[in-house]
Amino acid sequence: MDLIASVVNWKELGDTVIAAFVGAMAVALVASLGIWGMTRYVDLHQEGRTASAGLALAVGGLGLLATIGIIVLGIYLMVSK
Amino acid sequence: MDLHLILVIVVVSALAFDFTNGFHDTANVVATSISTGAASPKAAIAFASILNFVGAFISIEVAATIASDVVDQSAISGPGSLNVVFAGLVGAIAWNLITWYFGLPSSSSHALIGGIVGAAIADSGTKAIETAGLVGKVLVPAIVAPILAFIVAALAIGLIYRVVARLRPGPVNRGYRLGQIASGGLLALAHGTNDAQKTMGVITLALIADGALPAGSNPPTWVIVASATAISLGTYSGGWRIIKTTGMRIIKMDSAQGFASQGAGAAVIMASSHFGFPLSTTHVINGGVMGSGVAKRISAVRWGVAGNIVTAWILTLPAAALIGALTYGVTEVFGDGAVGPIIVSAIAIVLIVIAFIRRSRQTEVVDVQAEGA
Repeated sequence: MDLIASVVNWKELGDTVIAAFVGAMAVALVASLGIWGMTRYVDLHQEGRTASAGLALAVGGLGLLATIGIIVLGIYLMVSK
Repeated sequence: MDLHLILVIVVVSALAFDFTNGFHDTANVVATSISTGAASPKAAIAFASILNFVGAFISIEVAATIASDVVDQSAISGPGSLNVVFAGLVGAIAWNLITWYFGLPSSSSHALIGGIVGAAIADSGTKAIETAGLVGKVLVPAIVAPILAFIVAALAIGLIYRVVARLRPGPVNRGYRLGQIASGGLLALAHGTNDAQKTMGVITLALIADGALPAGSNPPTWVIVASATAISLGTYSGGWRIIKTTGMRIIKMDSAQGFASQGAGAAVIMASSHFGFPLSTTHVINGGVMGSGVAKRISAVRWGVAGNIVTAWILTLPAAALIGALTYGVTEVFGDGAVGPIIVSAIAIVLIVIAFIRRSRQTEVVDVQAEGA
């Protein structure tokens, strides 16, 4: 155990765990918000609730844009090292 | 001249390993997209092949780890040093093909590291091993990464189900199928960053052992391009037997689970590549698949299949090390020259052809039986 404790770079390993966790959860959240927004937009639009549909569309659009943004940021961080 | 001939054999063997790595790991990258209907098999494999190629150019941290943190470069720099690298590669290729033959998604990365370590120990004893690098950069991350992917995928699918719980399933499924094109692409890119670099690291190690590069060098551009091309072609060739195990036999998943497992796998692999940890992408992706399954229902995971995969994981390092050590022993019978590697290569090619013919005949019999049923 002492050998493992002394040879592992715990900071790098910890940063890996945090980066993976934050990245995956952020993409799951914003992509789901994007899908939620788009699906609600279709339903609300069919019901004739224009204002609510517009709001759902905005949430959906922002969610999808944020998804793309997080993916691009992740790739940029890798390339820029 | 003889030494350069061995170098050529080693580089060709490394690229052959890279090809089998892509061939073997195609399943990991595309299985979930195919099983949820997010993409057709041909489109998924072609897309993954291109992104594997691109991914190989993103980073060289993993290549540096393989070249300098697994075996002591100075310990394997004498006569016969290239035979060590060659024997390690044969150990990895042999284990990859054995597990392919039986349809088990074992780790190409662990096979490679096991093969090199086994051959290096056979050559110079345990002093040839960089214990700190092997434990700190390979073994500990190897244990942490699949567990991390399992947990992240389980939490991600929990979050996803919470957000879309009250929506109509049809549009939601279509949305996540579209999302899987992005998450699958990201996974293929991540796979290229981690796995193609392992071959770059091995070729760089061989060039250093040959004296063509000074110790501590980064991979030359031609090595990066050749490795990217080999893994990309291997991915395009595809490993259909393992696609079935990963995509259909571990769990039957919906498109949201596929998205969560691919996203978790890509995040873990990319973060690890950034810090130079040469992970088993197979372990990570299967960890993500199981995590997304277990979060929905524990019984959704076919634990018998998962158990077989875990057994293959445990066996991979020692089995590849043993084959690598034995291969080194055989090459040394013929001295430090090129004769040993040439004879071993010839035997390996014959065995590979026999394995492919036997496997394709068995697949034809299964297909005929399935049609008749």
